[in-house]
Formats: sequence, structure tokens, C-alpha cells
Amino acid sequence: MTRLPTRFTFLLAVCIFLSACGKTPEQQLLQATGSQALLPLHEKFLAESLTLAQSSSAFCSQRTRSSTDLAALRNRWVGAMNGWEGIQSIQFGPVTEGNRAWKVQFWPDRKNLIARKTEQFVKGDDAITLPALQEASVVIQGLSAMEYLLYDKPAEKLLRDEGQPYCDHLRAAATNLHQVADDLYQRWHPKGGNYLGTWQSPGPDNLAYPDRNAAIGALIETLVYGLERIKRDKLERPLGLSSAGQANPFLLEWWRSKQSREAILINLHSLQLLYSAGDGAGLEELLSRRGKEELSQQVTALFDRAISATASIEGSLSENHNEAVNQTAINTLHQTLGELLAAFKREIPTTLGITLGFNANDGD
Amino acid sequence: MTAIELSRRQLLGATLAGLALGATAAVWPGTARRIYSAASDRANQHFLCCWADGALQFKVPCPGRGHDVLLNPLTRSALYFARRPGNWLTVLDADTGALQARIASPAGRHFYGHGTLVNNNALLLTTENDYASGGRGLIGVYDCRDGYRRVGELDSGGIGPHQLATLPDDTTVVVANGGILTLPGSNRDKLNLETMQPNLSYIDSRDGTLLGQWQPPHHQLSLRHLDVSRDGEVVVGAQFEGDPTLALPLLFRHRGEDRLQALTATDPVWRQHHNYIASVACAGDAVIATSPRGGCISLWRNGEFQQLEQLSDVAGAAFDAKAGTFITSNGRGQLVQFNQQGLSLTGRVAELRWDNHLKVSS
Repeated sequence: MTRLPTRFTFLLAVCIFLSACGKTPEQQLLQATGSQALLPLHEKFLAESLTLAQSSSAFCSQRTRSSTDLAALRNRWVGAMNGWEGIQSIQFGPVTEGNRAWKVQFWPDRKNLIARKTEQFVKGDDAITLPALQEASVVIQGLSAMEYLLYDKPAEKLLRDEGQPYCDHLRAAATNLHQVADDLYQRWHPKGGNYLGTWQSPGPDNLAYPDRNAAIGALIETLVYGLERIKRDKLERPLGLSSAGQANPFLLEWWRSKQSREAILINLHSLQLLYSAGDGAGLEELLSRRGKEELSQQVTALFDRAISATASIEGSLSENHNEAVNQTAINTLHQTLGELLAAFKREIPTTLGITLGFNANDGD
Repeated sequence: MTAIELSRRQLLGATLAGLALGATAAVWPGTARRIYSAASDRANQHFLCCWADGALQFKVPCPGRGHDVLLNPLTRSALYFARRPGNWLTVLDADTGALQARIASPAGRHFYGHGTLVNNNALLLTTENDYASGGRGLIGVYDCRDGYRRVGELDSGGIGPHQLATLPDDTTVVVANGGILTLPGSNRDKLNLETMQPNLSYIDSRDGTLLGQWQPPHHQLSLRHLDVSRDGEVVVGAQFEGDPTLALPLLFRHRGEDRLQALTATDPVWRQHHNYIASVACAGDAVIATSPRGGCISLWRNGEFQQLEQLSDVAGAAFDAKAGTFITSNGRGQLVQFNQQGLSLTGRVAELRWDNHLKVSS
């Protein structure tokens, strides 16, 4: 029994080795990042969102609902939210079309639109159905509205009969989320829309990726976007760091469920995966092959440092960010993100001869 | 030069005037399509370019990033404007790329990157920042027949004038005052986002009279880029400086109404534009708008949304009247045709990143 997986693994390794032969390091990067990071990350979101949709449906079909049931459903929501955080930074491909990101998450919510629009929708005259939700504002279609339903005032109503409209909204939002996740996955997958193939086959006839640098540039832009989002939107603005004004914990991501720190942790893990392609021939290896071994290792060390600083934050960001015990960790994380950004915005593009967004960063 | 002097000069020009040419497209009869745009390369060197027949026709180095370009059939010139806060304006022979004139903005002033022609292409108007007096918006006036010599200036009607265009009467100009105060020393920082007051102003180019002024529905909708249709309808695109999670209309049209008319689309369509419109180009009842942040081009007809296409880092847009199609450009060196069938590649200069705006002659 133990020999079979070993032989299988060996054969797999041979296959990967053979298929990698004759390919340039850049082609290998696109292959490895696709199969080791992009597809698995989307697959995870799909699987978690399916579990959440099924659990929500079962929960709302029960005649009586207990606080234990609610706690279990919250865990399923956390799973789906984690699945989303794994791909939240990806800034190319199907997620950029059709406002799919907005349908999944509405944040930051400066005017408490989520609560207002959810209450309007639930208390309105129309039936609370999936088509009605999909016609409604993106604000209430996905994880953010579900967080409000599961963790804010509606939560206790969910346990009583009067909470049925809230449960109907919850169920519709979970189904909608699963549809978005499924749509995203199908559009990436080689057996579906095969956006992966588009990304992995740059060339003059490929409008989206006219050359390899454009394809690798999209990956680097994703890393920059993801790191900037953590640094600016998930730390500086809500916590009032770096002259970003006063702290406003309501700008934190997932403040209702107190999952802000966990979301950052998952972002960092998935960004590191996009950088390394697991143990594959990712950006990390490409830099080494271009003689930038030191830079390559330095970036890996910075990711490790950012992840361990995040993991060492005690309690939740919304409630405990000011505590002395967390100050060092938050400052280390913030500073490390700045160093990672410098690498991905300047040193790495320069080393690889890649241009990042030109007009998109212009502001004129 | 005083307003009265300008008026006299204009009147003299007017007596010689034939039919006013379209405000947005120059026509070079009998020549192949040529595309003009500023660009930068990977080494961050900057150029003034012309592309035709699948290749660059000229690539002239310039001191910094360019922004818009304007074609003047009267002097057979391509006029390239420095990007804010640049202080140069370079006039090249549109056929050969040979230098015709190099103009610097006056002391204490810089260009905003756009210009327009009035009076049968005899006068050039440019948007300028009078930063020495704290950021007053100005329109500089230059005589095209006299080596583009500066001959006067007008008030733009607001802070941060950006793109301007000429109405079919060849006299009235419409200017998008973005409302954002920037000063050269402040590293392009926006200094008044809480109090900004953008507007669309109509100005009589002969004497600077403010003929009308309209505000967008939100004071942080910075009106920036515009185009004028053949029948004088103005379409203006905005960049929203407020809460990025809001989805507001970013395109407005105006032709005599008592307020700006928002183009109609659903929230998701507006969200696709990421609160940022780079170029607007009109053709008949059709309009396209580009959004490099949204990586998309949208097509509108009679004020209503029709179609959206994805294109990375797209910014430049113009209508090629001869071919009956829109041409767009992006930071990946691509020139991409856009019509109802969607996008198709016209050409690519791999080493260049096309800057914000382009013009087509055909």
C-alpha cells in the first residue's frame, strides 16, 4: 500500500520533469503558477462556498434552529470567507469582469450600507429569492451581507420564527456566492473558459498578453495590489497608522466577525504561494535563475516575517490593536509590507525588464 | 495682449474663415491613417510618436512624459503637450516629425496636458495652472501662424482646468475644470479634495466671457476629459475622488440643458470603470470611454450604455472617421480597434507604453 503512492509520485515527478523540458523559465513559471497556485486557490473557494451554500440551505430548512447550529454555520461562513481571501488579490482574469469581486465582498463600508440595504431588502414587499437578490445591489449579494446576518443584530432572530426572511436572504446570498465561485472556477479552468490557457500562451495574437512580460507583469501587479491592500486598507486606514488619520475600526475588514487578522494571514499565505508556486518554478525561482538569488531569498524571508508577525497578534485587530503586546507585531508587519512592496514595485520588475501598469497608475 | 486685441485678431481671422473644421479630427486628404501619441519606453525615456502602416513613422525624444496631442492642418503640425506639471509644448511637422516650434509655459505657469484650436485653426488654446498665484486656472492663447507665439490668456472658470474642446461655432470652447488644486512643489498631491468644486465651463474664446457653467452632482466628481460631437453635444468623463466603494455615474452629456445629463447604466457597469475615466471620444450618437484602472472600454449610444470590452491599461481613444471605427491605445504598446464586433489588434510597438491620449488622421 505504501509503495503505490511513492511510485505514483515518482511517475508524476518524471512527467512534470519531462513536460518542463524544452520550456523556457518564463513558460515554466506560467505553468507552475497556474497549476500550483491559481487553479487550486480558485478550487478551494469553490469547495468552501459549496459547503456554505449547502449548510445555509440545511440551516434555514430546519424547523427549529439552535445556537449550536448557528455556531456551526458561522464556521462554514469563515471557511468560504477564507476561500475568498485566498483569491482576493488576484487582479487578472475572470474576477475583473462583471463586478464579480463586488458581488462577493463589499468593503470598506463607510456608510453602513450593508446593514441598511439588507434591512430594506428583508423588510421589503417582494419575495426574498435568489433572482431578487441578484437583481438587488451588489452590496447585499455576498459574504459581507452574510456576515451582517450571522454576526450582527439579525443573528439572534435567525434562531426564531420571525427570522425566516433573514434566513431566506442568507440562503440566497450563499447560493449566489457559490454561483460566483463556480463561474470564476469554470472560466479559469482549461475544460471551461480556459482563461488559464490565455494567460499561459502569450503572443502577438493574444490581445490580453502580447508577450511573456505582460503575463508575468499581471502576476506581479497582483502581488503589488494584494500587498498594498493589506498595508493601506487593512492596516493604515482602519488603525490610523502612517498619518492616515484617526483609527476607525469600522473600516477593518470583517470587523463584525473579528476575522480581520485571519484574513490578512490568508492573504499573505496565498501571495507567497503566487510568488513561489509552491515548490514549483515560480517567480521566486525565476529570480534565482536570473542571478538574483539574494533578492529571491530576501523576498521569501520577508513573507515569512510578515506571516509570523501577523500570527503573533493576540486577540482581534478591532479590539486589541492598541494593546502594547500587539504594537511590535503590527509595526513589524507594516514595515515588512513596505519592504515587500518596494521589491515587487521596483527591484523585481527592473530585474525582469517588466513594466507594471502605466496609465492605470497615472491619475491624470 | 488684452482681450480687445484678441477679439480684433479673431475678427480679422473670421473674415478669412471658410467652413469650420471638426473640433476633434484633423483631415489629411489622401494619406493613410496615422496615429499620433506620446509614449515612454521601459528605460523611462519619453517620446513623441507617429505610427502608420504597421510601424513607427517617427519617434522624437522629449524631456518628460507627454499627455495629449493635437493636429493642426493649417500648419501641418502635431502638437504634443507635456503632462502636468510639465512646462513644454512641442510642435512637430506631422509628416516628418521635424521640429517646427518649442514653446515653454511662462514663468509661474505649467501646462495641464491638453489644448484645442479655434478660429480656423489659427489660434491654439491650452489649459494652464497659474501656480505662482496659488493655482488659478487659465487658458493660454497662442498664434499658430506666428510660430505658436503666446498672445494672451483667459480665465478657465475654475481650478485645475484639464481637457478643453471647441464647439462647432469654432469660437466657443468648453473646458473641464477638474477642481483639484495641485502645485508643482507638492509631488502631484491633491491639496483640496474635501473642498474641490469641479465644473464644466463654456467660454467665448474671443474675449474670455464665461458663457455658462455647470457642476456635476457630487463635488468630488472631478470632470477631466471631454469630446464634442458634430452637433455640439459635449460628453465629459469624471474621476471620482470620494468614497471608492460608491458607484456614481462618471459620464455626462450636455447641450443646452439646465444641468449635466448623466449617461445611463446600471451600478455594475459604473463599478467596472473603477471611478476613473481616461479618454472620451464621440462619433455621431456613439461615445466610447476608456478606464485604465478598470481595464475596460465602454460604448454608449444616445446616452445609454451598450457594450463593455476588457483591455489592460487602456487609456487613449479617438474615432477614425475614414475607417468608421474607434482606435484605442494602452500601456502595453498596443493599438486596438473597437467597434460593435469587439476588439481587434491594429498594431503594437512592443518597446513602448502609449501615454494617455491619441489622435488619428486619415
